[in-house]
Amino acid sequence: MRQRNVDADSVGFLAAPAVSYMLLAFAAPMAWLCASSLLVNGEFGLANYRQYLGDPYYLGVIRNSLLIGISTTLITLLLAYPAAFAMAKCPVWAQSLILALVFVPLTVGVIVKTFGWTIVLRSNGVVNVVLLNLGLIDSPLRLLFTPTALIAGMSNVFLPYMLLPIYSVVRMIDRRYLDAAASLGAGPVYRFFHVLVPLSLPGVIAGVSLVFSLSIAAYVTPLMLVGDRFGTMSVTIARGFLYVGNPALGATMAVILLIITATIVMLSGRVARGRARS
Amino acid sequence: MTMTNKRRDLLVGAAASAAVLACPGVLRAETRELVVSGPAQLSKLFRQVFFSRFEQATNVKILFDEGVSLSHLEKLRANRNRPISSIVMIDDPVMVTANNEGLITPITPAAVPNLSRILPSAIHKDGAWINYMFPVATIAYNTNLLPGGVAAWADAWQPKFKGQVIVPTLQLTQGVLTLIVAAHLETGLPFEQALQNIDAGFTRLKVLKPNVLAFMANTSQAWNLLEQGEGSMMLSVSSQPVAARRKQGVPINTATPREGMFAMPNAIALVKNGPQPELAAQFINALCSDEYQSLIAGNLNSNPVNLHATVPAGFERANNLHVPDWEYITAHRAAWADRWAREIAG
Amino acid sequence: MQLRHLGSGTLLFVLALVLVFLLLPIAIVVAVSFTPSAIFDLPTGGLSLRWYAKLWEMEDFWKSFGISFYVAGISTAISIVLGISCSIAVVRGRFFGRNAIATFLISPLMLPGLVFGIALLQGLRAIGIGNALVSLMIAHVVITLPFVARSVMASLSLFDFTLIHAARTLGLSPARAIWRVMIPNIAPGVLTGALFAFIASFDNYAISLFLTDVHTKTLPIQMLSYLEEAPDPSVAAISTVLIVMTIAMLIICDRLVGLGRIANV
Repeated sequence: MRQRNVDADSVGFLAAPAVSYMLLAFAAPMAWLCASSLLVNGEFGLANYRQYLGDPYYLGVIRNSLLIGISTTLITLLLAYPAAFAMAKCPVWAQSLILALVFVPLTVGVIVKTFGWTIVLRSNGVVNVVLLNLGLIDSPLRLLFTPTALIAGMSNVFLPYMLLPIYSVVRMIDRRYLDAAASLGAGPVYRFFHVLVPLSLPGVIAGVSLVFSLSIAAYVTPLMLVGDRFGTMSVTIARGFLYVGNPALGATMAVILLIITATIVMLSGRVARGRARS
Repeated sequence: MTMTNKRRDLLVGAAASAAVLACPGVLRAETRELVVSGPAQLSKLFRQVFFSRFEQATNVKILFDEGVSLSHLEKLRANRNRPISSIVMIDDPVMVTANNEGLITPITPAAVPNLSRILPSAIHKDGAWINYMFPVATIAYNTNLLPGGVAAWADAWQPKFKGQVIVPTLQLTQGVLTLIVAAHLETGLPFEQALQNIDAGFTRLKVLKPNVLAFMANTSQAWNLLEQGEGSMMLSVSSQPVAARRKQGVPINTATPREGMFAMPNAIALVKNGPQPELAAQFINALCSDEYQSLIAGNLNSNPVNLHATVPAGFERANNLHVPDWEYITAHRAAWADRWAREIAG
Repeated sequence: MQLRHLGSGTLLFVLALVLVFLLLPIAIVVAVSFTPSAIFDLPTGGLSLRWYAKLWEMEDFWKSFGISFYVAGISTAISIVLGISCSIAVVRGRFFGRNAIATFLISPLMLPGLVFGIALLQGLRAIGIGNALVSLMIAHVVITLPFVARSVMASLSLFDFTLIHAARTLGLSPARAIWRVMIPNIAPGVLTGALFAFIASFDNYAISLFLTDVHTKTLPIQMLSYLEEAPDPSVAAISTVLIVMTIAMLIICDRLVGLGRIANV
């Protein structure tokens, strides 16, 4: 008899419990809530989508959300990628310590964290005091409640979700590959782009899809770090469902958000598998 | 080993307490309970001032479910068939919606005799809901930054306050007050007619933008910005928490702007088909009584709605507070919110 | 040592920068917790423990802490079982739509929590579930599962399934082969996923907002109430206590499995 539990052809049923749970507890209520996005004056149709996607204001909101999602993802990637390599080079005890330091901020709720972040960015805050003392600026910069502050704050909140997946892959990279490449005469730049990058790609993809999803859907952080100044999809969704009793607006935006994010996450998954095959 | 045991104890303890919580009826059947849904910021004060008093007098245990008006509304809707709360304390505009959706039931003079002792302007829709107090909605300022105070709403527009003014967003109930004031300043009409000319409010508020530090949706963060002095003044805020914070040594105060001030819409209503209706009416009756209303001025820094209530020496009763037409506001809210997002927030 | 060419110094500098950046707001919150003033701000002129002393008077805090711990623990445990089983199917199976299932499982992360909170509240009441603890549990499995599934899938994709064949040829039963060979291999991934999941539940505010009731209040909701009452440093003290507890938990994890292994997100 073959090992049925792990055999490629017969393991599909193992997905059933989780998938059916998610269908019942997540998809069904969401579908019910979002059905109103298709309902216009008692008739089903795409009129809501035409209305909101044809409105420059809402297009701006979608652009803002994409901007936040993409910038947060890029910044955390730029910081986390080299940091993950540095971590992997540290002695084991230091790696454990750094992991703990990366993990600890996650336990402080985002609301309290934004209170701390305000003290960092305010006019006599940490950043301005440092810049003034270094003589880089003459008068305090206005940082709070700007899109820059929001992106910095979001990067701060979501950095661990980028760093840990990349680190987990990077530290597994077998250095013999690099040695082999070097012995074949490959230069450092070639080795980086043709050996390290492809090998670390699964971690990068995991981090990117996690951070992109979390940051584009974030609600509390944008609300507290930039307020009304910079409309995002999640704030618009909340406005529709909660504040103005316009579920069609909330539902339409929620569906658009879900489609955008799912597309990007699935594409990144495809890229990863495409790379893995090649 | 001890670690593991401790953790297991903790888990078992948590599980046990959760099991008790999951079936509250089992343990709580003996004492009568009254569930009141209300604003979080009043939780402690209500417990200290009113609940303990009422509990002693009636041998009832009051449970206070704290949250924001809109989450209470969502819960009222979802629990429509089997309400958990007997009483709901939310802002007037949310009451308008709750009443339109049939989620609350009128307070009658038969069940609440003290209804006759409170201001007619505090009773809405023939008693569908009432205001139990009128905190003043005005300007708050940081006394370190503005030792001279703020004399007028119009001052917020002065160029010297660039980047210093905190404004609540339209998402918050009091957000609309800023629009009314702006319309008043633009047109010179009294608040009541200014509300009908809200276009002018948008026009004037757009001019304020350079002075605005932030349009805030989170009140605790807004207060924090004022307290630490990142902003020097905050528009359209309830004076209610200010006295207590001042006692703690926080350098803030409320202004008495010459254009006038508003009544914050702190409302209370009976939940339709809520449990313990007699007890709930009894609590609202007590809340309207001279005794309880007298406690409002001293303990909640707000104006009693019962004019027979005495106020402590030193408390100045604010007269002529403007009570906006919340029904009109609620009817126009969605359109204004859309305009706000496009014109003011951007 | 091959990495030297990328510039060890630069890499370490970036790492230090990253850690400072990550820990800055946290360090500020910890500092605020020792302020003698009632304002949530950095301490000036002396330190004080008054906000910690206040913690002991906050009965609601300990009660909500217990509820959050319980909800996070149970929902994470359920997610681990669902997540491992589903991950095996997705990683090892050859059926159509595996990628879609993987995306579907993490889709709760792609939406603002409060939308799901409202949707679930309406759905549960429509089918007659009114119990807050049950509602919270149902919701929190949905938000913890993505983290567990994501991390277990990553570990499983690195796992060499032929090892199970090998174990089988050595005479182990299928169940034992999985238990003895596969589970130890993916344990760090499960643990990482579980840690993230636990935190996601323990910290959840947007969904719980709609599902908690007067008997069952989670810690983030309780902390929000404290902040609404007065934006004073007591929440900083609570956060500092949570940080200390997290460190203690991490030390335990380190002793049990070695922290170095906990990163396979």
